[in-house]
Amino acid sequence: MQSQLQIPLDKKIKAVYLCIVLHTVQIGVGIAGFPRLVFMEAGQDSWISIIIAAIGLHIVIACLVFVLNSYGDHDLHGVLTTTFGKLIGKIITFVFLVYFFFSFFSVLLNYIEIVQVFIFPQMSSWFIAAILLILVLYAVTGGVRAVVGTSIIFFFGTIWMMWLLYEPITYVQVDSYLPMFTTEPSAILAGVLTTSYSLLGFELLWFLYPFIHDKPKVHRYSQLAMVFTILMILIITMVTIGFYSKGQLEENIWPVLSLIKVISFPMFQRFDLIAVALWMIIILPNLILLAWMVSIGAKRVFGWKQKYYLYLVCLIAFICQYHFDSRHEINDLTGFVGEVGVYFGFLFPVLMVPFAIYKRKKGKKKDNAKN
Amino acid sequence: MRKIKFTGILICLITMTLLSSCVDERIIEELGIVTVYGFDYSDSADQIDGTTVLYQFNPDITDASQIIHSTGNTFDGIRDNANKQSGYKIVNGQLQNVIFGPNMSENGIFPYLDSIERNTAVSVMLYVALSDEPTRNLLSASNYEEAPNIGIYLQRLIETAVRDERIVSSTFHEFMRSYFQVGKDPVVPILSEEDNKVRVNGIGALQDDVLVGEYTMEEAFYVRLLTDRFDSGRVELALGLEQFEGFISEHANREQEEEQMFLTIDQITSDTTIDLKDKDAINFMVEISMDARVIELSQRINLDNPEAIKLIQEAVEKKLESNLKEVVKKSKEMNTDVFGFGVEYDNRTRDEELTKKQWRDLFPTVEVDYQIDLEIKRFGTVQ
Repeated sequence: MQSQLQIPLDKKIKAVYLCIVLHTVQIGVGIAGFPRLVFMEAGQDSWISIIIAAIGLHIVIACLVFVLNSYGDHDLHGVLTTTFGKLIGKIITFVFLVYFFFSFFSVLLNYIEIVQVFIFPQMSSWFIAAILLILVLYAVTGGVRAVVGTSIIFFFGTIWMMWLLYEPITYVQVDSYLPMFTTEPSAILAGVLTTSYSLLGFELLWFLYPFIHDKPKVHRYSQLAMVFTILMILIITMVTIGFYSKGQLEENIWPVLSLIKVISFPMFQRFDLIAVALWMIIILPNLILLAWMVSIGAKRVFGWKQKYYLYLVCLIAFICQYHFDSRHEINDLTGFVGEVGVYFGFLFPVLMVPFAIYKRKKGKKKDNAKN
Repeated sequence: MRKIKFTGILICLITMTLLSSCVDERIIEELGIVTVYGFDYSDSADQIDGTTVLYQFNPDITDASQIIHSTGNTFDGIRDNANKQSGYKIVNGQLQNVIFGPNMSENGIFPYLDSIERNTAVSVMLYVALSDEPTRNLLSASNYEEAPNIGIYLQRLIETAVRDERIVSSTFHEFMRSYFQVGKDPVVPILSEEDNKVRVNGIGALQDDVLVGEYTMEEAFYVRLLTDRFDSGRVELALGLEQFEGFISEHANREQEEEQMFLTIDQITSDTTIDLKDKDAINFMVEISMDARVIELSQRINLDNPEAIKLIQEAVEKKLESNLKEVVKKSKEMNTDVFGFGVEYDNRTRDEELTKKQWRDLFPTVEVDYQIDLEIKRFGTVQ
């Protein structure tokens, strides 16, 4: 049996931080385009899709935490190797890492595209990538506490942006939500699937779990984080659907960013430019947390130092970024990551539940035998 | 360890500050900032004639307004061609209005708005407006009050009209919203020039993006009454005098017998609901509840008497209803649904989705009933 991870107390974090960390890793670059995607599937009944996806999410989180609790102080790698043996465990973890790397990469590409479309069309991709990756390197080398710390600071640095919805809300027309309950169930389900893409990110818990100091509270706080994410997505989507008319929303690639364009102050006539720049602060925790996940996971699979994997991840991302520069390529990659992510994120924890139950029973027998 | 951290921070700071100059720089004195574009169709060249009004932030220039004429096939082509005639880099970031001349609006203006929608540099809060004469003449009007140039004047002109609730707001976003919505047509202000000064002359009735008719400023009140809510509107009505017989004060005796009495109500707050009563016959019920205050009466009417007030309210309601009927009838003749009856119809018929073409065929057959509930709350300082 694998030995459990021994993490010194001064490197651990409190469970209450999960509330924010899980939320920040979920909300990122995707939210800027999400309302359009879900609207294209489920129309004005998108809110039903979101609520169904939310229920699914809460169940998955319950499964995930149940599995982690059954195995004790293990992360994804530990769980897999204890269940399936060393080789298979390592292979599955590696597949997970590849998926996490692609999520990392797609966040990076999407933000670069937004900057180029909205603010600096002439700015080259490598330059933006370099700036972001330097920041990622700097934060992740600080260790888990720095990683969690940055996401908390950046969360409070950007959460006020929800107030920016105030002005667009005055443009909302109730007609946009009518007629209710007319969408086909299949369309609603397609909307559920779309929503689940943008809820991904909570897989972070697989790797963060051993670093949490007070484990009994993990479940409570992760569920709270999910409630928070869902509420945010729901509010943003409802405002966006009310703000645009049908055809207009279906045309707009980043409806949430275009929504901010109606905000204008005498001093800042074009507030949307500031909002796009600030979007970097929203996506940086995403990049940092994902890069941390990939590097710590690689360390667990192959040994060696985490730092080296971090350099490798950034280097690969920097090089690959040259090959993705059109809207279609980026869109395809993001879509692919989302589709695969549904299996990795949503299906996998549920599949692990039987193994966790088995493990619990075996553990009990052992305890009984000992006594 | 501390040393490494310090170098890390230092590297980040240095790269950030040094690399910030790599970004494309725009010095404000070297920019020609467009405040308004005017588009006309040029018959000779089969191209679009563009009038670009520039604004410069250069302290050396006394007249900060510049007008450039250029031709092109597209919005951006016109900007680019205008740039050939200017030493300034022409940028659209402060664009306040786009105005289309008469022969453009007859052929549809949407194709020229595409660039604005795509280009993130342009604000979505700019006003789309039409002009009843070539924009070339309109934009050369020399009297633009205290505004720095004609573009900013036009923006103020339209914004004041919208804020005073004389016309329906038509920012670019709202225009696009209605354009894309099935069962609703956009409205835009129509500008005209008189004595070298531009004024809002009415609002244009569009079929999608093609101008088919015009509402006068008086009719604009009723268009707004049906599409939006009032917070402090005003309207002037002519009422038949004979119905107030017996309430007219004695001292108002005049030589000449008048048949009409003029009444102005302001501080109007209104709330309108449009309801589909009959799906097959397409019969709508419009319910309007209004509060208002009388600010002017051309005859002395004894308002101490509650009967008189009731009579005035009823007369105003009747007058409003007949005027609303006229405006809706006019719209049905022009076949433009600026009120959004089609949206209500589409929302209530759940089985199938309405198409624009279907609604064009259906709209002229629509029947509308009205129920207006007016309460006159105050009469100023005299009874």
